[in-house]
Amino acid sequence: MKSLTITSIIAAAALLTACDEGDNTDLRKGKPTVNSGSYNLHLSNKLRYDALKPGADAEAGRARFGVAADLVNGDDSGALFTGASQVFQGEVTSNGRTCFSCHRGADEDFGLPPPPLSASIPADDPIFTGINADAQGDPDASNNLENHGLFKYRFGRFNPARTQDDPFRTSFAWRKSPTLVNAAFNHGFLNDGRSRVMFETARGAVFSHTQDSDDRFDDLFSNKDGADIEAFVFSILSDPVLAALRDPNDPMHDTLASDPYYTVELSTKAQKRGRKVFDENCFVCHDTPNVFNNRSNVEALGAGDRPENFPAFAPSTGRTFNIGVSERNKHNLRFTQDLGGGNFAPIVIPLAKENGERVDYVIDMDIGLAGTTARVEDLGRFKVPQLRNLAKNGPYFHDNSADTIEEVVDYFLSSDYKNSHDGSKHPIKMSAKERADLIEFLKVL
Amino acid sequence: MLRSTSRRTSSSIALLAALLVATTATSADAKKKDSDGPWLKGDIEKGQLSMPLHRGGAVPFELMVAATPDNCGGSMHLDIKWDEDDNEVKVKLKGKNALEAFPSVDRTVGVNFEPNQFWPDIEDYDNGRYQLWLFSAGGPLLTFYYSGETLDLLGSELDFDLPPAGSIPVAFPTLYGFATPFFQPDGNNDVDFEWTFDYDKSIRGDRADLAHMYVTFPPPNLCLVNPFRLDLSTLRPYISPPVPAAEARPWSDYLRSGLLFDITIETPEYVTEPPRTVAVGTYSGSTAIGGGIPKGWTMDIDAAFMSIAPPIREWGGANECSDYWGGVHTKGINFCQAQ
Repeated sequence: MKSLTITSIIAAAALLTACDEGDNTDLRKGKPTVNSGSYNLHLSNKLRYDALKPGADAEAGRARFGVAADLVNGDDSGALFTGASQVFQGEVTSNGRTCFSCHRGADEDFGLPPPPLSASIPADDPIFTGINADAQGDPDASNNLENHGLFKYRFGRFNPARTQDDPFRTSFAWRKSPTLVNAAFNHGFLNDGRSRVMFETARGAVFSHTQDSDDRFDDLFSNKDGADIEAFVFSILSDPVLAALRDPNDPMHDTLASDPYYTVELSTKAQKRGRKVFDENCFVCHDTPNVFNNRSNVEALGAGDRPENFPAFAPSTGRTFNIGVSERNKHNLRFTQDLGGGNFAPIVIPLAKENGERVDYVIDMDIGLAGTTARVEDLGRFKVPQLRNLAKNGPYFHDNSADTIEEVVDYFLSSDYKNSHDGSKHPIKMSAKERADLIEFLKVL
Repeated sequence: MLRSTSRRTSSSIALLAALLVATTATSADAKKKDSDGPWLKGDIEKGQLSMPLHRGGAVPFELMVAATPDNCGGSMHLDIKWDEDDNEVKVKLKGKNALEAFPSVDRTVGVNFEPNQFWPDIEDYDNGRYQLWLFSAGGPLLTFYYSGETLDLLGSELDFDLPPAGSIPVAFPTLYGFATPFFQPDGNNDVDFEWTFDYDKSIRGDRADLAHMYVTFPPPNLCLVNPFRLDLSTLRPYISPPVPAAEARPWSDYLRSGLLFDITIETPEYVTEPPRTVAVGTYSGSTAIGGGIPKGWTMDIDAAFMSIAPPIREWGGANECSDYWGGVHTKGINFCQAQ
């Protein structure tokens, strides 16, 4: 008995990790990068992506993801994470959800259909029957899922080093299930970019959405699972030629990297004018060529002696912004703690300002990346999403608060944006004609 | 939305105003040229890092953070400029009422000192001297050997020419670092220290024949660690002998990995030959966490190692000025017996 335990300890000891990654390239050479919030000191605007793990098998990842070979229908035969877990200290049972449950295949661009979800998903689907995994009895959860396509996420739910009543474990937000098309080009994952790599993202999703407990079961989600799922997800592209962006050795890489609009086919004058409007107003943040997310990222170690699964210490790997969507809270979402019986309590979370001052923040909006970094400056900050295939990616924003591209553009022209933390630094103005042209351009991305 | 309360400000209205500034940016904010946190410009080849160092910013297990003058109210700031073409890295350390000259260190076993055969150190000493350590937060895996019979830690691959017979090898990630020359503050406790070293060879400032050492936190016995719950595991510091200068790494390796800094109070004579470092620190900081580590907060090493958030916590020693010791990282759990 003892030897078995020791063996497992030794085998798992290799997973002990502690490290960081980074390079020190400024976004704008010559100007200091004034640090703010979680922005890593090593943000780079180089076009750079980590390679897939050696031996990663996209086809095995597809099976683990839970989508059939047709990429349209679900297939959970190889996708449930169940069984005896030493870390969990017991048997993990699945509620039947798989990755496919919330990323519903090619017909939905590996996202969810527009709400109401019951219009296109049967009532006995695990996305509904398994709701308690993420909702945990919250009375708002069913409505927010059905009518807004939003799930309840507790940022620090699986952090064993904090007590159950720690605000970093009790705080939560209502977030969409993003489409996975072109996720290969993300710098940071999930809506707020808090997840550094796909491995963390997929494992966290399995923990969060497939069972009700707050206990981890890391040993049921293997390194191979993570590598295979990453390989599969990163193979989901809106245009195969975009794969060259990830591979500096691809003959098309330099072309795509140097011509931001190389793969964007524009046929009308309005679309071409719209591209100019985009270039002048939007590209400053949506600056990854041909996919249009934000390219700021952390460069990996160059010495070649860093284990591949070494995480950085800090959660953020990309640049995030607060453009006021959280403050607007269009769906009037609740952020207080459900005590049961119709009783709710405010959640107060301690955050650090740059000067070290502690701010006890009473949560009544989606606090964005701050729930992960504990920094005031990260309140309401979210990742810059990629824009290819945009017409099929709605509803938009982290809370699905814009149904159409028109609504998105109008948001960036609104006072909500103009008065936001980062919108005020980059106000956007355009004429009605420019607005119309921009919309035409965005629709063909 | 901003119904915040602050423990440290007397007026909630003042806090409200401050938070409003933080969440609704102003043009003044956008024009701000410096910040309370660290900043960086340039790139790997040529650049600059500017970083305030704070007591308690990064406190490894079993490190004592010494009290500093002015009721711990002094300040310390680090600037580093590098230029690969000139093969030069310039370090500037400035402090105001920050450090006491020739300090004494007085520790007590079981209170703020725990002897450790893998980190040679002495309990008490006078006439201390200061050294700034520059650590890379991302080192290679180092193989450690554990007794096949007792499961006790025997040492690392740097301590043995060959693996001990019957031992169990386990690899752990490391930090690695080197140090500036020794320095002292002036009679006003002010620090104005500069040092330049070669970009292509990060060699110790006090010993031109030596470069970096490796540091990590292995369990002293394999039964005392749960790889998935480092917060429940017993982990103790390990420091390797320094490698020869010929094996020095270029500064670019340190930049790529993220940096950890600590100003230590070294003994008047080396404790070992070749020399390592003591476990007595003062001001520290890190670029390994986005945004650095704010004053009064500390890197949450458990969180960092387990890859969970948030990576910072309020530092337990922030509200008093006395020698601080985080203690041995243990919960006393024997995971072999537990099952």
